[in-house]
Amino acid sequence: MDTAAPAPGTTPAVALPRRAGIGLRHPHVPAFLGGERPDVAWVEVHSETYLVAGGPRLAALEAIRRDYALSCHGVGLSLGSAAGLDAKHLANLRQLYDRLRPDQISDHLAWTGTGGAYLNDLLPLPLTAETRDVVAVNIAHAQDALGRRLLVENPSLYMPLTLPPGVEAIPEPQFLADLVARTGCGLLLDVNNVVVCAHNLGFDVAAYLADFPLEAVGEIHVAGHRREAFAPWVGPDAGAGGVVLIDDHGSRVSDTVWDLLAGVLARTGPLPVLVEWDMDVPPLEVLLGEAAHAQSLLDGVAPHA
Amino acid sequence: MLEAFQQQMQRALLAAGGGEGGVDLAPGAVAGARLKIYRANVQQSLAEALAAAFPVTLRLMGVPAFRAAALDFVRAHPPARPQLAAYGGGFPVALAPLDTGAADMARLEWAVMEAYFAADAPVLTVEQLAAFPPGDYARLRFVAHPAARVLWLGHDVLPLWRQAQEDETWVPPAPDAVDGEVLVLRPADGIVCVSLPPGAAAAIQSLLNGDMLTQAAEAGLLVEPELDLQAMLHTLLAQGALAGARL
Repeated sequence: MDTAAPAPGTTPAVALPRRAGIGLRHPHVPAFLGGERPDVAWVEVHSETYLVAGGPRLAALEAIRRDYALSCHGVGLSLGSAAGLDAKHLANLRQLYDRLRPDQISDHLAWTGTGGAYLNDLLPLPLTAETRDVVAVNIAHAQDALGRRLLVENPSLYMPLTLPPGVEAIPEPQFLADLVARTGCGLLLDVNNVVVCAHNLGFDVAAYLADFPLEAVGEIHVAGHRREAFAPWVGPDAGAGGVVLIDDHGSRVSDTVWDLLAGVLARTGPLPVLVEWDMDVPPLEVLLGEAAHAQSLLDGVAPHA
Repeated sequence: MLEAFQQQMQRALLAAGGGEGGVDLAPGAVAGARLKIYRANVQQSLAEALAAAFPVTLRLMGVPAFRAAALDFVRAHPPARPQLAAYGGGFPVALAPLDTGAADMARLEWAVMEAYFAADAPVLTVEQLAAFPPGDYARLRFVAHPAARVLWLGHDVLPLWRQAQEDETWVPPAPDAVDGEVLVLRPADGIVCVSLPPGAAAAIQSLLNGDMLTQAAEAGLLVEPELDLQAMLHTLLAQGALAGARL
């Protein structure tokens, strides 16, 4: 895994098992450390949660990693930062990844703060040519510093951005395809985020997925979201009746998202599919049940050549 | 444009309620309302990170007072990088002007956090120590275990912290303003807090700094002439406070 990123334009390999995985959350760690191994093909953790010098949390993950394929999913690279990436953070991540040797690493098309601040949220980017240049440089920097190929995830968005007159918006699928072509990165397709954005920003899910560069996808995410009414805040001109979808990863995957996943898999063949559940974490059996459903969809599609 | 947008949006996200500036790329009522979702996410999630790091301090202060202090801290001092396990080291100092007892509880909880995530290291054993010639003991220097830290506290918070670990719903009373010295350690998988006798904190801090055993003894005996150095050393060895020894 210490090889450099592949040259731009080469076909990214899928590094994780083409099966269902789950996000590993603290309440479930004892079950994974116990004698009976939970039946799931791979697990994913948030990289930054394990950026600690030592202690029981990191030791537990190292023990679990010996038995399971591992994906390290970052939330803090801030690939959209105009000011560039934090060299110390990259060095810390490199140390963690060299220790854990994950099968796959990833982060988001987002920014998380500027000027030496981390805001603990994945913030929206104006999708312009300027931003594309910034993100492409940052991805190349990250892949070099981390010594690994990165998957970049499509974001979930709540707020429409209005570009100044004369500045052209690049559609998100095209923007991501450009990043793949320029940096050799792969993509992480979060189907739930597509549903959330389509509702919040008012675009068509089918058209978005038709344009998405699926050949670059090395992993898929599904998760639950919640509906929130912000009617008192939002005026009568509010799109979508003032109801906002929040991707809180705090409930079961919706039927809409499962259907879209099946549609994507029919086009791609089996890919690694992760069920994320971060808030109000349920008993492990519930999460494994969701993963089993994802696996049943995976079992229903034939491998593609 | 991107850099100006990010600076402007960050200012809006860290502003107090009602005081946020606008964001040029987010004009209009809908975008303004949606900006508030991001502001709430940012400030509340960081305040929740503090609540997770300082759970007993929260119970001691009560939710409204803790929440107000946490949000003020978050707006003024957001994390410098994405490591929430390392976020909050400045919070005890920020609490001191508001509530000195809560600030001492927060100092204890932060030491526990630091110890929990400190680097792993082998533990110095009695056998390893016995391998040194007895005549050389006075000149021994120790390597501190990365988790070990000494705290000088102005309130008797340790008994309250201990009871709060036993009973997750118990609401601690205000701590007594009594000086206390505590050694925080991480033997095996857990955290241990040891209440130290007078003088021991000075001696142990000296040892953890890498001073010779005689120097550490002097530092301790200066504070408390009756300090039992042998008992102190026994505690350090038994609880894994030391990672090595050298002459």
